[in-house]
Amino acid sequence: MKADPQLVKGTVRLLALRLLEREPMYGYQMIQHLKDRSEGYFQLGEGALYPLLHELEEQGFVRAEWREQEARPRRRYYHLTAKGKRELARRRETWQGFTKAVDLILEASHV
Amino acid sequence: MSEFNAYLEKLRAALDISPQRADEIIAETRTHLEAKAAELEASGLGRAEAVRQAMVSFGGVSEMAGQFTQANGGGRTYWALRAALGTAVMLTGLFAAAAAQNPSGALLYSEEWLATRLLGNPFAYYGVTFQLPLSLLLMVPVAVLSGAIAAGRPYSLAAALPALALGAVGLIASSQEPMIPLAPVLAAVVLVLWYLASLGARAAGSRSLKRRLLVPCAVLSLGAAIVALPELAQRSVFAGALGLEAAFALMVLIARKRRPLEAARMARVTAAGFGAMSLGVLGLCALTLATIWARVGADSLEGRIFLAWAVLTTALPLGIAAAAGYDWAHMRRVASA
Repeated sequence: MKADPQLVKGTVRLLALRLLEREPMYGYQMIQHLKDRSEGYFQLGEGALYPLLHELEEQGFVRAEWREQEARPRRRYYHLTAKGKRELARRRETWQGFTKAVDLILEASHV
Repeated sequence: MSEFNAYLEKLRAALDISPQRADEIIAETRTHLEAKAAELEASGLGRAEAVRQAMVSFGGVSEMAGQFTQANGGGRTYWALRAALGTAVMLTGLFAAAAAQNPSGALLYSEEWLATRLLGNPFAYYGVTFQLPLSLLLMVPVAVLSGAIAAGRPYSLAAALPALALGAVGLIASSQEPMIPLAPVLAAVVLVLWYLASLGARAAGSRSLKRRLLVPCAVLSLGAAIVALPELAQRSVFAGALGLEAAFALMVLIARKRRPLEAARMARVTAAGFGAMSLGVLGLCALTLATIWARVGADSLEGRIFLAWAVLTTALPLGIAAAAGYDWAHMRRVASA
């Protein structure tokens, strides 16, 4: 099933924060993780993720550091900050409230 | 790898952020493109096609530059903003110096009053009213407004408001002789405070702090500007030019997110229009200066003060025109990337 770009746009911030909650990651790794874990549903454009990561960094939700790689170019890893964890919790709660409300409508026998 | 150099150089040229931050973005993008191209190559594509697809999937240069610039909080302070700050500081100092030397008890006389006292109405000869230096202040907010809008940065736009107030109140003051320049000095102080606060906020990495500090500045400035509107309306040429620039600026603001390329092109028109206005005023200033020099010389104290004022205000539009040129050149790079 192909993802709705508008839906993806609205959720990508939540997804990015969630990925970084598990472990620090670099941009391309995040794109691949999103694709793999969603079984190909989220095929996020690189052009969308990197500016988002920079914006999250500017807002203090993540911080970045360069890590040297053996025999490979260094990579920029992103970590979730304490502020980012609070933001993730807030967004998760909002998302759950939203999906619950949508489900109530979709699953109702009479609308 | 060299295949990405041209793309990355274009991206760097179009970024409007600090050089250090741009370096980081370029390095990160290069790493990404190389990894992506290697992956595509491994899937069976030829090297050239893999490189091409990696760049295509990353995005167009101007679009990406716009997104990175916006995501990084706007970046560089525009030259127009620096020009506005320099003007505010210069005027404050000049007002203070003149007030300290003025023996008459009034805090300060406007240059129009001085000119009339020294020369009668020197510009009756040219059929124009002598109102030039203080009216020039109006050019400062126009410059800042153009630069801010061209950059598509709301906080820079807010920074233009104190300058707008400075110009508007300056115009009011120029019609009252002798005048007490409390309002323009206050507006200048607000502008300087904003600038220092924004530097501090940027150093602290906080955009929200910057926004909070800007709100009272913007409210104060808007209030002063509204009070000054009737006077602005009387200066129809300047008000018309300001309105035209503001209309362009508004269009850029509306278009910048959905149609960044068109917005960039429109911003070039705005900046170029302002530059042309500045150069026109520069010519008028030079004429003023030449006339004053020919008729008065620099013998008296008031003459010296007035000449210093005229020299400084003659230099001002040149600086602002240069600032507009800088903004224009940047937007040209973005639009052509």
